[in-house]
Parts: sequence; C-alpha cells; structure tokens
Amino acid sequence: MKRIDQINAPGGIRRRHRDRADRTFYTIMMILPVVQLLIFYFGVNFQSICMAFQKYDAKNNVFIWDTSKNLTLFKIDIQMAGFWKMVSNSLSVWLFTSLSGTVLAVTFAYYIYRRNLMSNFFKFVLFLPSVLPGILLAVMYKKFVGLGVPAFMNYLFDTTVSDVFNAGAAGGRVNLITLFTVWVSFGPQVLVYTGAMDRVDPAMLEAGRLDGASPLQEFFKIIFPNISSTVSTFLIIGVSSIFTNQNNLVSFLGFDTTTAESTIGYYLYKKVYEDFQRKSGFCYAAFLGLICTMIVIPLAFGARKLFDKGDD
Amino acid sequence: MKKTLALLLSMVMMLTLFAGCGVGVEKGGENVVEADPSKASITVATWDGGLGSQWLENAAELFEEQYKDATNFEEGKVGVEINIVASRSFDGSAMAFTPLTHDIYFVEAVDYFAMINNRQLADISDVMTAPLTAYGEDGTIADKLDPTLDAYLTNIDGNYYAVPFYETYYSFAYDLDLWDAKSFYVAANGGWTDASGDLSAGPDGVAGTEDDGMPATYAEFAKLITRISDADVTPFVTAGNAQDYVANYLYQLWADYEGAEQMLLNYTFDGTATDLIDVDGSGNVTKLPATEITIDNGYMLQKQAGRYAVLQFCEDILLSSDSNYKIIDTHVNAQKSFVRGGIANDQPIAMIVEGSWWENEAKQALKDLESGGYERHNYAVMPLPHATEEQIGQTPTWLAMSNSYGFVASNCDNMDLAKEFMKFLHTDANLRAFTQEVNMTRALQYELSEEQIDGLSTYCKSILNLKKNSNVIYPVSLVDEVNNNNIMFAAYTWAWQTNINGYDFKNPWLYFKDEKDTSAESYFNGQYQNFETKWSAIF
Repeated sequence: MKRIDQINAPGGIRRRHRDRADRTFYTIMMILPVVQLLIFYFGVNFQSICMAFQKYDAKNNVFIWDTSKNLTLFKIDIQMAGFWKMVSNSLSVWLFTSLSGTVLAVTFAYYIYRRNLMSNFFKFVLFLPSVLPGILLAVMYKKFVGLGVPAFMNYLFDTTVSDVFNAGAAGGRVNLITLFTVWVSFGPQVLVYTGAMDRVDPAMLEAGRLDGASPLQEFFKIIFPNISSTVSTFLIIGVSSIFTNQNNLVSFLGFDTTTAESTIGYYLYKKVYEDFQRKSGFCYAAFLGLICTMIVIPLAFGARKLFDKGDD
Repeated sequence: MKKTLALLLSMVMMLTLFAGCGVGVEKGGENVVEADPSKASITVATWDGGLGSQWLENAAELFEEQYKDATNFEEGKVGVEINIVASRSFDGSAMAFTPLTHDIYFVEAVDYFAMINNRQLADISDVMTAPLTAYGEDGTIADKLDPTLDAYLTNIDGNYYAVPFYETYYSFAYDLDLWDAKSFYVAANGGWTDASGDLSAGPDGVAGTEDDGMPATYAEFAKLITRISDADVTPFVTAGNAQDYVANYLYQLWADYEGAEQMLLNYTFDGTATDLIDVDGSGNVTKLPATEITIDNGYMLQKQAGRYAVLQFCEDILLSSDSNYKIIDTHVNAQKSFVRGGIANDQPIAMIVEGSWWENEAKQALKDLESGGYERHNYAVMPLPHATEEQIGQTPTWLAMSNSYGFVASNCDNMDLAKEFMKFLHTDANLRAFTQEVNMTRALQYELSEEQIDGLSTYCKSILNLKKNSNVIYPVSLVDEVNNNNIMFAAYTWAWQTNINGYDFKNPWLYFKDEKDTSAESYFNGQYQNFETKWSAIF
C-alpha cells in the first residue's frame, strides 16, 4: 500500500528518481577512489610484500620465491658505515622538514593569519610550491643558486664562484637541497594551519584582546591549543615518511650523488629506478622497504599516543 | 550541471588510471604523423640526441623512391611512405615499460633482454639471415655482425630481435688546429712541435702513422697537460651533467691496459687471469700468480693491474691541478665552449671528454660559428696513452659502448614494409651513408671507399683509424649471473664501484675530485673487498 501511495504521489516519484540518481552519482564518484585503492594501494603493496621474499631471474623473466639473496644484501648493507650515514641523513631531513619545518610553518601561518606586513607576499611565496610542479621549482632553485648567484657575485664583486651543484659533494650542496625541501614542505602546512586558525572562535580572541593579551600570548594560549590536533597530524604523518623522503636529491642531482649525501628514501628510489627495466633491484628494494615499515609503524603509533596524551 | 561536470571529470580521471597499462600494444599517442592514405606507410622513431635523424630521413627518401610503384606492401595502395619521428622522449632506458607507438625504433640504452621478455620486439630473424640480393649484395645482415654481438642477440631463444645501432668510443677529442698553432705535438726529441715538425712515434711506437706526436705514455700525457696549461689554454672540459663520461674514458683506458684477451674475462668469466696484483697500503705492488677465473671467483678480476694504473692516472694526472679542467653545466654547452674556444670565445680549450657522437651533436654550434664568419677547427680522437713505456706498440683495445639498437615493434602495423626498410637500412650503401652523415660508425662490418673517406671530417677519419688499428670489444655478457644482477655489472659499475670505509663510490673521477684523503690504493683495494663481499649475495 505504501508503495502504491508513493507511486501515486508526485513527490514520491520524484524522490525515488532522486534517490536512484543519487545512488548512481555516488557509485560513479566512488569508482575512481575504489579502483585506485585496489590497484595502487592493495595491488602495489601486495606485490611489493611478495617481492620482499623473492629474487628475480632476468633471462626467464620470472620472480622466484627465495629470501636468501635479499637477506644477504641486507646483512652486507647494515655492516656498511654508509648505510648508517643514510639512516642518519633520513633522520636529519625528517628533523628539518617535520620538526623545524612545522615550527616555521606554524609561525608563518600565524603571521599570515594576523595579516601583518607583507603577509600576502609571504602567502604567495609559501603557497607557490603547492601550485607549481616540484621539478619546476627544483630547476628554478638550482639555476638561481647554481648559476644566478655566481653570476651576481661575479658582476658585483668580481669574484668567481663555481656552481655549487656541479662542484661536488664537498661544497655542501646537500644542505642547500635540504633547505629547498623545507621550503617546499611549507606550502601545504601553511595552507592547513591558516585554515585551522581561521576556525578559532573570534569571541575567544576578542576576549583575550580585551584582557590585554599580547600577540605572543594570543598565539600560545589561544591559537596553538586550538590547532594542536592539526599540528600533531602533520607530525605523525612526518614520522611515517622518515624512510621514504628522498630529499629531492633526484630532482637536483639525478643519480650523481655520494652515499654521504643520500637518504634511505633516495637509496630505495635509486635501487628501483636504476634497474627498473630489468627488475633485478625490485626485490631488495621491497625487502628493505618492508624492514623500514616495520621500524616506522611502532614509531608512528607511539607518536600518536604521545600526542593524544598531550591533547588530554 | 555541477553533477554532470563532476561525472565527466571523474570519468576522465578514471581513464588516466589506465594510461600506463599495457606494453607494446597501443598505437598512436605522441608524435603521431599524418600518413598519406594512398601509400603503404610506417613510422620510424629515433632518439633525437647526438645522431639526430637526418641519416634516417635521407634513407627514407631513397627507399620511397625505390618503391614508389610497389603494390605488395598493402592492398590497394601504391608506393610507400616512411615517416620519421625524432624526439627526446624515445629514451631506450625507459622503453621496457612504455607502449611502443611506432613501427621501427633506433634508440640507445636499450635493455634488450627486458624488451624481449615483454614481447615488445618483433622476431626479425628473417631480416637478419636473408641475403640482401635485392640490393645487389650476396651476404646477410647477420654476416656483418661481430661474433660476440651475434651470440648476444640470439642468446635468449636463437632468434634475432634487434640489430646493433651505433658504436661509441669515449675519448679525449682534441683540436688539431689549436694543437698545430700552439705546438702541442710531442716532438721526436721529447720537446714540443707543430704538426709539420719532427713528431714522436706516438703510442704505437711506429713513426709515420696517424698517432705520431700524440702522448705515448701516461707520463707524456701529464707533461702535455702541463704544457697546455703553461700556454694559457684549458687542457680539457667535461660536462657537469655527464661526469660519467670521464669514468667511461677511464674504463676505456683500463681495457687498453689489459688488452683484449684479459679484458674479455670481465664478460665471459672463463679463462686465466695473468695480470692480477696486490697493492698494500703504501702502494707496493705484488704480482699474483695466474688464476683460473670462473663465475664463482669472478671478483678476483677486481685485482687486474690495469685498474690500479688507471686510478693512479686519474688521481695523479687528470686531477693533479684544478686548472687542468673546466666543468661546464651541460654537455651541449661544453661542446659549444670547446668548438668556440679560442675562435669566438677568449679561452681556448685543448680537449673535450666525450662519446663519439659529440661532433654531430655540436653541428649547430659549428654552423653558428661559421655563420658568424669564423672558420671551424678540425678534431680527432686522441689515441689512448699507455701506462708504461714497455706497453708502447701494444695493439690498442677499445670498448664499443652504447647498448643502442634498431628494432621492429611487435605491434607494427605493416610488418612486411617495416622488415623491408630494415633490410634496406643495413645494406653497405646505407651503412656508409650513415657514417658520412653523422661521422660515426655502426656496430657492423662495412667498408668505405677511399673517396668516401676523403669526404669525412677529420674526427670521423680518426674513428675509422681507431677501428682499423685496434681490438674492439663489445662489452656484453652471456653469463646468466651477470644478466640477473644488472646493477652490479652495469656499464662502469663493474669497472669502478668501490667501498671505502663503508661508503660506496663508483666514479673515480668524482671520488678523487671531491673527497678528502683519497688514494688510488684504498680505491683499488676497496673494489676487491666490495665485490668479494657482494659476490655471496649472487650465489
């Protein structure tokens, strides 16, 4: 009876059509993320986990179940000082991009939020990396620092300065690249932090100002507590990327780097890329990736627990 | 409206998901050319690098003329059309995972095994083994192959899937005119002279040959560098974006030191090594007894004496002073500085470290020079100097490197036409035309007439001399363990990878240039330790 009523009622037919249209729309909209999730998350990770326990036979183009080669390579790697240098570089890059970067990003976000002098300029400069492709920025930065600065030095002071990126590892080029990594990591953070700051209740700010709170007090006592959950999210995500961050070394130096400049993320990238046609580097990269994941999972959960406690 | 737009966008994004799927099956895509519908047609893609595509365009024109009335390539069509597409996107090193969108390819850095395994390459055994009688030749393309390359090409299943493309010899190219003007030639009395002077006998030890006046030993090369610097000329340039060229040159020097027989052990892992040494921390050298090499103890080859001699050459001679060299940002700019040096630029440059393609790649720079009213200089490959005086007169050994191939895509639209064009391209006449056009050689056996040689640049003539008077090695291996561990044995990794105090290095040029407290001894000993340790992972 209810059904007949619905069919007979003009509003019911419209609703049914609308429900069907909504379901179709929802289904179509969900296909993309679901297919992506299946292929690029489950599919890729499943294959990667399998490869961690395999070795590759290039002549016959088959993967063979055998972990011994990967284990031997890993044992060799961990006996090398260079490997631990890469681990230490990964941690340094994480400290710079995730910790120092976050402090600076929050500071700049607050500056922009307060609409202080040239805040729009800073907004533009800091958002730029989010808008432009990373490789374009890397090329711009490389040309400016590597060629532009020496040209200025030559013009202004008549001194010859060589291109730091071509001058070899001893010239400290990796520090300039890390600086770039910090800059490009700003964009999304500043964007999200200013958004979170905009959602702070204006009444609280007004009350603070009436009570004579200085900008610093306003930041530490009102703004920061209100955005702390957003900050902790970024920090937890940062922990999970400790061993995948290649510090933009590929964009700047390709594969002409030294071990002392590399990170574990770069090492993994290089292992896969250098021989990706022959696939012989895949299995060990997958194995090392799995080990890194096993280290990072407890760290990420630990960090979350720590921040949860802090929030309480 | 918003929903429709969202739906459309999501559909488009969904399609992009499949952009990278499927290998060697799709046609069209980038660089699609409009074909004449009345003619049978194919497209030929080539890497638009040092060689360019003019040689292909010339051959295509001749082929189209020869087959202008042909009706057998496609029903209802008369004549043929060969479309040439040259692009930097045709990078062989990325092709094994890229759909092949054209019919024929001539590209470099190809992973032959991987592409066969991916079924991207058509079987062209019939092309390789059929006599080229239609073009006035009795032999086949396979007859023109070096036996090593022949075995490599047929190693997987006995069939041919590609034909070797060009040969590259990494070397110092020197400026003949500058040499003459500044008297950089080594004189017979040990001094310096111009081209018309009394020249030394050079590395072959025989007076009256092409290498006269060239440094015969590393020690003479060192003196030459000093002589060039003293004349306010930059001894050599190299490119910041291609510093592996120097490592490849050092690889050549090592091969030359060892000679063909000992060097080939590095690819066959089968034979007796007679040139192994131990070097202690103070640099004292002890010769080791002859050692039988198999794949089980292949790492012993890291003790070959040539490696140590070349490492010393790199550290003590090439890098004896910062003023010996100049690093220029890109290879194209390095070429430009070299050809303009002392002519249109203030600073003359005596040599450039490059692959054999450089003169053709610098064509535009040379044209610009001439259109600016300047006269271009002549260049040549510098013969490899020997480590010691005792080695003077030893037949030079060169490595022909590049991994470049020509092949027909397995999804070719007109297989008959593609195969016929491949045959046509590999006739002696067209191989000669290739050399005349790009001043380089194909990795095939063919001769040029005296008249044709006369028309070549001095640089190309020096390459032909090099081939004629040397043992040429194609650094390919049929050993499964080598092919299954491509990273370890790739290019100059096997030649130069080392581990010093737990750190990996694989370019001695960069190592000695950039690192502190370096020594050839520690580099050499690190090579052996590195490979001995990693060998356990292979087996």
